[in-house]
Amino acid sequence: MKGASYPSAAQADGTEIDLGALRRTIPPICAGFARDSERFRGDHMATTNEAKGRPLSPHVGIWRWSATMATSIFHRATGIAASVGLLMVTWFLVALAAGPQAFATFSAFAGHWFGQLVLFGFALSIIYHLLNGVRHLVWDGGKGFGVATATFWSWFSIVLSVVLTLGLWYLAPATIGF
Amino acid sequence: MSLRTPLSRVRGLGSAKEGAHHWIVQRATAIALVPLVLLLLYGAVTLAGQPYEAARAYLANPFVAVASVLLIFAGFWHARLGLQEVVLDYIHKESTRVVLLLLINFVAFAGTALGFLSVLRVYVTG
Repeated sequence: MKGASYPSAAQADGTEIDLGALRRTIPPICAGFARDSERFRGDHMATTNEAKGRPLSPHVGIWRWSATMATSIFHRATGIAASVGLLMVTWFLVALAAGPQAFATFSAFAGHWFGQLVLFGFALSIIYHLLNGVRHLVWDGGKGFGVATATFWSWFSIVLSVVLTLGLWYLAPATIGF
Repeated sequence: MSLRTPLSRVRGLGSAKEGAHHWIVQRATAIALVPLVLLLLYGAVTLAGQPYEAARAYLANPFVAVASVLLIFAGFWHARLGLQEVVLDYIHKESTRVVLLLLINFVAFAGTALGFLSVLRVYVTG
């Protein structure tokens, strides 16, 4: 390419575009775009890394479970479960507004073993998510990041949520039956 | 030295063009939900084993009705943001991702509307 001459391109105002300079500029820009679009596609990145024999960071299965890791995963799981539970709360409100017949249908589901399982899972999820959510808010304040502290409050969230859920079930055994 | 313009810095939107809005609303609704969820649990204990009429009368109480509406609003908003984050993290296929995000939004808004109207109806009709 060195020494190659490019035809000049005259513009309307009489000046000329330097096509050689243009050609030297475009390829780096295109390479930049290609790199960026690759970065946004995680799956493509992974296959590239494997193909080129690059070291890969270990995936979920290889880590030893710790209390902090567990509470982090539980937070997501209970968040999803609590969203489903919120739909059940909505159903309760709709049934209450719709009349005795609709309410009877809701009660029948809530009293069924499957409905009870959903309600118990919802209670456990919302209580855990609430307790662990407060930990997240404390972290947002920049506090509680020490290993010992984080581990202690992890176990605290797990144990207390189970205790409180069983306590709720003891207080309201018929939540279950309506 | 930063190459960002003063205007860009003041807007504080960053590369996502949305700034910290998602993050802040997730926290704001979380704080609001702390007392609301405690009231929900209190309500569950109170209503346990109660017949239809009693449950309806309980919801018709102005304080309970307002708390229920707030719970529905904050709850579905918080759930919507959280589920959106989960989908963006784990679903890599574009079409599946868009469908799930739409579904989450539709269900969240429908749930909010249904819950709000139901509480309103019970409150107005007693």
